[in-house]
Amino acid sequence: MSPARSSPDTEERVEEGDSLSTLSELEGQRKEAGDIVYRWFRFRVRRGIGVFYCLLSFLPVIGSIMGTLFASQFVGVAGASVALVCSWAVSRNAGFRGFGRMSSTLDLLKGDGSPEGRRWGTVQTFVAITLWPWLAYGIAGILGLRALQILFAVLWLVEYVAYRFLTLSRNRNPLVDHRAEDWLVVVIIPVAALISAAGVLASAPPFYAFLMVSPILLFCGMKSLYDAPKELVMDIGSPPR
Amino acid sequence: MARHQDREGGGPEGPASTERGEEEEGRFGGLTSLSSSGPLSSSARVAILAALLAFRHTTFTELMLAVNLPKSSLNMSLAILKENKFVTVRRGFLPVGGPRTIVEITPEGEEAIRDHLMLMQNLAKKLLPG
Repeated sequence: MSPARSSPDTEERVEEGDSLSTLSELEGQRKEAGDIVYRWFRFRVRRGIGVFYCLLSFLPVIGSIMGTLFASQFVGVAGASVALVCSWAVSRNAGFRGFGRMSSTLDLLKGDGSPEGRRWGTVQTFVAITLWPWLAYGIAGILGLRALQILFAVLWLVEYVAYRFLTLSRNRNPLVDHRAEDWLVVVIIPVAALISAAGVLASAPPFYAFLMVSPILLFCGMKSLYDAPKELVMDIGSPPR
Repeated sequence: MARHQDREGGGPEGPASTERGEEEEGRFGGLTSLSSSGPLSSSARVAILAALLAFRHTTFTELMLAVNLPKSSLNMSLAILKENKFVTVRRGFLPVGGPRTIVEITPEGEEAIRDHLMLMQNLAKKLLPG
């Protein structure tokens, strides 16, 4: 040890410098881990979305089959609703599981989070927003209240778009980005509901308008599934920090 | 690491050195435990635990894809995490995909990664510029 380093002050400064360099090293490691986790979460969410769109494309088919078999619009709507919940559960396992926790983990890795998932409720809010107009639309259809059906279809569209815009402007590092296929799905389902309610396809069965969007939904789902692995190797321009 | 441990132990320099060590421990509170914590000294292991904090369990194949590590390195990282009881590794059957190796976080692992990230966050805010 040199004479200069044997002075207590100098030794303290050297040790402080060492501690800071260790801390910088650990900070770098945390940021690197943050990048990995950010890509991973985006991959999972995109995969979940892909599975959801694909399953969603089968709902009109299920609704049509049940509606035709039982000659009842109620059975058609109920069947499609149950299938919607099942689709949600399957896609949740494929990628949405722990969506709120993913956001808070990212916050923790960025360095501005709390240990608990403070964004709990994000998915639940979306489900609530998505489900009630569909149920109201279905019930109005069963009761033959066409004007209300149109109203709920318009509300559905407005809610979807508003929710998307709100999350887009508030979320700085979104786990779900808003791609063309996402916008297409958001717009096309309420529009199909509107077409069906307005009686544009008067001679066709009620589910016909939805049947026409099935291939588009399937395409959007396949595209999301195809794009999901690309998230793992994407270049993060401004990483989650 | 060894340096910190020596300092904590008092070392050959006597009580003055111990006092300095205690003072620094106050300012850099927890850094010693962070830097000497073997299981969380790699970004891949921190990433694995942080991701599992969100979705509890995943498959080995997905881990390999996500962390982008060769199989041997990933096995080694998992062995370290398993040794510290931060994760469990078991064979499971997935409805889509068949038999898979499933990696699951334990409550100890959850606590460890939360503490690690919170401590890092506090220390970085306190000590690092910017």
